[in-house]
Amino acid sequence: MTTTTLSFKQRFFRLYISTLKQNLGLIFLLTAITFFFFPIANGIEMYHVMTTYVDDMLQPVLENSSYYHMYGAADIYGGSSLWFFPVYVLLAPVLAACSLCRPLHNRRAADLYNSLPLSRKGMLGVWLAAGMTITAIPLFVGLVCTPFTALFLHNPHFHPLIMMWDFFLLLLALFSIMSIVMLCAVCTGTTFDCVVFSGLLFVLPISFWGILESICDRFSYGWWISKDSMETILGLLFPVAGLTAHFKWSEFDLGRSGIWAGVPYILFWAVAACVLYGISFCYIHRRKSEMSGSLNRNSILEAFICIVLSLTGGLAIGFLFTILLFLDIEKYEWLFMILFSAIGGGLSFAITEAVLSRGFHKLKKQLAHAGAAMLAIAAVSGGVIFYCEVFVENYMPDFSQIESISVEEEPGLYQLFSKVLIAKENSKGATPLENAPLVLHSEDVLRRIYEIQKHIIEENNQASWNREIPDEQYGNSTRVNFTYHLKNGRQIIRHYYLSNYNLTDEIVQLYGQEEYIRQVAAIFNPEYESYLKELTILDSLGLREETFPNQQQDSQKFQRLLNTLAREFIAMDPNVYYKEIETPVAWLKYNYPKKEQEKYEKGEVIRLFGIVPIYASFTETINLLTEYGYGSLLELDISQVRKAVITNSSSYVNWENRLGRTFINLADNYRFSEISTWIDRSLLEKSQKKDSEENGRYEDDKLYIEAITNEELLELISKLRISSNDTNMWRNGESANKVIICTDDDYVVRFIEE
Amino acid sequence: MIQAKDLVKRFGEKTALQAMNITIQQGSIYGLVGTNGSGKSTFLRLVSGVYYPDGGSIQIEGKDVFEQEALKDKIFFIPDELYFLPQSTVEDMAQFYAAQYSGWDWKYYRKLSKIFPINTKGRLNTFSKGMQRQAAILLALSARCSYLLLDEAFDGVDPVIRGAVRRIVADEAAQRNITVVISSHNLRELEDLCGHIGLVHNGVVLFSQELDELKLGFCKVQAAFRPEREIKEFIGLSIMQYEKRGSLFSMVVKGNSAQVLEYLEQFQPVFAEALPLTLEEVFIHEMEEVGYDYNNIVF
Repeated sequence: MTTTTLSFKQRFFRLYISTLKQNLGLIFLLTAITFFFFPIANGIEMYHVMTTYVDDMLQPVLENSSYYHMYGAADIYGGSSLWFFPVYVLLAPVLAACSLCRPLHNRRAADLYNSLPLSRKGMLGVWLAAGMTITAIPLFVGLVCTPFTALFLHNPHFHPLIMMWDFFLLLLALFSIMSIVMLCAVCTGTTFDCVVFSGLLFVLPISFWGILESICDRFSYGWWISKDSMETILGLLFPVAGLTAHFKWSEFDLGRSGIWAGVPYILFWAVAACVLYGISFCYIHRRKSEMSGSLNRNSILEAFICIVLSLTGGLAIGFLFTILLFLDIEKYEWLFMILFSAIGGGLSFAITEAVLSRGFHKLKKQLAHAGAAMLAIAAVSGGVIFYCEVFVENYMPDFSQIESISVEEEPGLYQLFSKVLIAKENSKGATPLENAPLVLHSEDVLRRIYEIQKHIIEENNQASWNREIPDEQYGNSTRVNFTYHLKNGRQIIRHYYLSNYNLTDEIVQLYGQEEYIRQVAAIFNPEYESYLKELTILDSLGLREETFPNQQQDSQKFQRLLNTLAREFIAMDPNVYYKEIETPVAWLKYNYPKKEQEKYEKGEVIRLFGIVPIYASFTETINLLTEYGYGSLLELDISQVRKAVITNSSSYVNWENRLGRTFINLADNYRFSEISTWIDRSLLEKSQKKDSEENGRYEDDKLYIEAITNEELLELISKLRISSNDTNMWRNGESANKVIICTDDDYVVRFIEE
Repeated sequence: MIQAKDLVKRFGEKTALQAMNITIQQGSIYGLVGTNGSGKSTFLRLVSGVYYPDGGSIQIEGKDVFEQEALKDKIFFIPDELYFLPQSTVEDMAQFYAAQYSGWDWKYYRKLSKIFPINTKGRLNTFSKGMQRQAAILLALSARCSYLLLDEAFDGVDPVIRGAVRRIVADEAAQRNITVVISSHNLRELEDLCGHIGLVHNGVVLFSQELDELKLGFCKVQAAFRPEREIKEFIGLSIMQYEKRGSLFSMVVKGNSAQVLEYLEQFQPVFAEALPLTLEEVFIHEMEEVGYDYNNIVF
């Protein structure tokens, strides 16, 4: 009988098909889950959005698809997709790999597969291909069905091409996760170890980083890592972070640039996956079959897991015990941290060993290793604290090496005086709106900031290790970030909570520096001069306003007003506006361009807005305003006030910004009728409460609301402030007294100075 | 030809095979016998390419086996503990093997399916142990490989099928010149089937011989002498075991019966007869020689 020898390709393909047939059940299961969570749940969400926005009126939806607020660059994903895709990408490869790599974890299966005329590398290739197919089919089915759901629900917004791109990225993410699971499968002898090792590899790096970051944050006042850096670290350490970043990108980020969101991380992991596959393919070639079904206690992967797990566990236990048990012994906190870390490390090591050995029988032999682990973890813990103390906390760059310093202050006047939003292409390919950075160059300002940081370090050293903010100052403390840009290109970032009022005063004095104030208030910044097309002058309460356009015939007048105001503003004591010592006689507001989307595509400055106060002491500015015909706004006219009430309610107060939250622009967010109705309803309810004190309708007996006359309001004007000095207000908004002033079409909320 | 040279296999601290040397000729049916844990299954796994040797070499047709697809295409291994794909039938397994083995013969498979009393469309996990063995043998024979490695292959198979398999295997060996290596503790069975026997103990081959030669090399002698003789007088015999009851000697002696009887003639026995040993007896005596004596085990 003549037989033709099968080629590698034939065997590979036949085993691949056979493997898929064996795993049909898993494919169906994953497809059913995907189908439920993606097209169906997605459709339900779309339907919900539709009905929420338009009740039973479908027609407006058809006319205006902006009713749909779906996620992703493809504009089709619902909230369920945000968590489903990462979870799926994380779990499906684990399920598939456990099913496929049975010969690696079952001695009898190893006999069958390893005696087949196919190399181990070929077999791993088959499992990889089959694993990708098994996990990709459900996603493909889901993504194919979803457009039909969208069409059925009249969502014309989705983008099929971007969906295909998303599918490709999902495949890359599956490929990456599969590489980790496959490596674990190859390096372990049991399915349990494979699952545990895979899970640990997913979470250990990010957990280790998280605990390191927490320790640095605890033991160093100045430790700071920017949001961007945090995102980058998360993306590089956690394999599905890129995917999450990609799918959460919402439609509110304009220009469809979201297609690149998270992609660098996905690509990074895809490259890392190639390396991991390389290791797996090299290792499986000489992998001992006798490992299958047995505990493999000699692999490098296991040693790695054991070390990192002990380290992470030790540091985590040490950190938790330190902060939970020894808050009162701040001076020796570092000592307890090291001690507890060592004990925690020993415990973690013992637990890890017990789990990996399936019992405690080998623990006695490992006592020396446990001791070594404890010492190592104590050393790492001490090293981190030493790093925080020497290289973060007390380290200051050589002043001569400083090129510039960026300052971020919160809460500060920056968000009130100006907000410059820039469409900027960042490393993730997205174009979010960003605040223009506040970068200072002049030596005087740099020297002041340098000195401030020195004082902060001195203050912090005196305050020992405890960085807890006293309760009475919580919410009132200033957070400040200094970013030193050195001449050698390096950056040093320090972040502080200034709970000490003396240090806050030093920050306030920065406002007396011309360069600083010109950066803080965009209206005074020559860089943005060309964008200022008009100014709005408002009265003291913002009840009335008039526009001053920067037209050609008025440009000199316009510039003169700006220059005068800048000069007087810079010359005044910053405490007046920082601490609201006086009530302004008027405000100067700028907002350009009003439509946010303008010039967005070009990546130009797209929005410039803010407001600066005009005080009675700005005589030249006031004279100019009078000369230009805006004098009437300098006098407060309350004849149009329809209703004014004093209340301690926190309703309708925007909490985002200490100074901006009570500002007149609140009316942009809430319709006038609502506040008016609320006042009326509250008054009504209050009177009802009085009538029936015992019926239990009102649980909050501290709430009060009281209408005042215009005359009473006038008497209050000099006491009205934008911000509250009630230190407990952050936690109990209803304790701060405020006045709500309603006109026919607007309302104003101001705090009453105690 | 299968050839192992100084073959070593270790499992952690335990050495399963220590410098094993064995040569199995092409076309022979080779029986591998040995004590429990002697290394028989390990050897078969090394031959089939499941295990990678820690030392020495295992070669088939002059080539190392491990990861050699072309060579493994000629080898079919039935392990002592069978494994079938989950929820699979014999037909499924046949398709699985047919996809991997170049020599797979569907006609032969159909033919054998009629001989073996098993339902090829039934799920293998519902089969009894013996039926699963039959299925494994059916699949192994259908692959039409040149090397058939059977580890405890007949364990649980009923005597009728065992007889049938023995015949089929013998026919295959004769017609296609295939090499069959069978490990078993059923020495009676090996005696009927194998042409060659290898005895493995503690990871080394104690001897490897043709069965006839082996059986001829030992004999059980009973002889009576008058006057009575002492055992030390028979210095020309390689006596492995003896027992004396009065004037009657019962001895197990290395050498063929004719030579032994001729030697004893000089002592003028009243009565002397020599019988060949069964394989089991040879095995037990050989094991006793290396200290694996049931008298040491049973107490």
